[in-house]
Amino acid sequence: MRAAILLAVAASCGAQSAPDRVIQSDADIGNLAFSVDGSTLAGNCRDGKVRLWDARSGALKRTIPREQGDNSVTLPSPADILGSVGSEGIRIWDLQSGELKRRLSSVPKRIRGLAFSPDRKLLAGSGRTSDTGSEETVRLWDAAGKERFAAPAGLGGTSAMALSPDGGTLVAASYDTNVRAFNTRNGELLRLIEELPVAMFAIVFSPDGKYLATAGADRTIYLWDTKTWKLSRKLTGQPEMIQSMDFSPDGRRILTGGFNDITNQHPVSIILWDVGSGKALRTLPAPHAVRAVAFSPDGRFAATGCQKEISLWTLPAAEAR
Amino acid sequence: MKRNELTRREMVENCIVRGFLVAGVPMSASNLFALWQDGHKQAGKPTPTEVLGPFFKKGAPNSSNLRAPGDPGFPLRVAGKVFNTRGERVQGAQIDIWQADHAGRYDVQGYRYRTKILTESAAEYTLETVLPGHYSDRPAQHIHYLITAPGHRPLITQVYFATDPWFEGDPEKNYNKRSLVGNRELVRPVKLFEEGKPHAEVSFDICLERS
Repeated sequence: MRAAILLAVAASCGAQSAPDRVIQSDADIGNLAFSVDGSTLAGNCRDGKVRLWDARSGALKRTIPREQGDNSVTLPSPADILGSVGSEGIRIWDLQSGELKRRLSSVPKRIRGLAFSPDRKLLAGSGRTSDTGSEETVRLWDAAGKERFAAPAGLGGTSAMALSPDGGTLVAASYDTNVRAFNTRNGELLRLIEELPVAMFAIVFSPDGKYLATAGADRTIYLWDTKTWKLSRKLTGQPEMIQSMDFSPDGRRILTGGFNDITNQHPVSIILWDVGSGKALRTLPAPHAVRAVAFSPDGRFAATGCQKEISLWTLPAAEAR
Repeated sequence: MKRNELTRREMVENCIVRGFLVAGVPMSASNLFALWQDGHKQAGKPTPTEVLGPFFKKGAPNSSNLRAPGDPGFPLRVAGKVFNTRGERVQGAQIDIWQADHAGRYDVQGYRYRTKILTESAAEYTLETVLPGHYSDRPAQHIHYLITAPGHRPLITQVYFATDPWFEGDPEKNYNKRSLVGNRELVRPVKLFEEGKPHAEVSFDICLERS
């Protein structure tokens, strides 16, 4: 009787107890992204390898080892390319064919993180300004590999970076808690968000580019209007710090995953948010920290990564507008 | 025009001759000078940088006492001064300090074990806290520092403790175990005081680069 009541309460809160399918990875998942057609799920794993699974069957299709000399690998969403940084400079690979598409050899060795514009023409990189010191610099290169600008980006490293859907804005979040928005044409600082008390670990633009969502250590999702760069609203209620976030393809929902403390060993919630109302639509359980969340291109499914386990969830259909 | 200035060697030699600089053990003047110069070089080096970490929080209250009555954990006093590579004391330096509690947990929602201290004319700071706990991601006990001061480059660093079991009793050999600590200099000796209220003391001076 008591169990039945608990189930009824859970259902009314939108809780979903188990995923539709679980894929076991050989290494912890760092981030996840679906291919453009949704048939492949790519995982950037913590052992430096990128793994590709069949999104329907869960079968492992390919494992891409880290190239010699590479320090870091970036997997953008959708998963069509891979970016790597290391002794060979920045290299961009076609994810399906494995072919080297572009190479930027004369880039500072200190670059660590990368971000790509949706059309893949613009490439941003972040890294320490010098070998000594704590200052960070972001840089932007165009399709020809020419550096458009280099700009100061705070202290202590870049926690997240994103380019807007139209490629016109680069946003970089710093561990010093500030977020900077740059005009990608000339590097002009459009907005310095200094009012956040803690670092933002995840930033993502809405598909129409009207909003930037930032989330991090204070368990809050901030939605910024990208026209005025003012805070539009806050989504609160995530019990844990947020480290992974995605916007649904229709821009109406947000998915977040978190971590409870630095040991990453405690159960956490994955939350599906309704952007319009700011309410949590579904709460999905995870046994440990969730480093990766991704919507499928049709918005009907979500993939979440928790240590070596990828969970695939069928999401409720969005209500008609 | 020749400037009538003493070289550093001449100055140190003068001090030795006049008895202002005395070695505790028998030592030649040239050896003493070499040691003095080594020490001077060390003093003129900026404090090594470390990672900021994910849990820095703006707006910490200004308080030198982070340990509330009844807090679990071994009491710790950290004291030092802020100077620059010219050896000048730096007034008006803002020192953000944050650490995990005795159990290795950071308070991100509040400001427990977080402070922002402004140095005054003596450029000194003192912190009453507890030895930070261990946690799996960064298993060496540490305290975070972010220091900014007008006319100087900002510095992000951390202080570690030579008594930490992580260093297995030999920080010289083990400081860089799992590439956790970038510089031996940041692993500080710990003095233990048993009498009265048992506590530990660590000295951690900070040297900033001029901008």
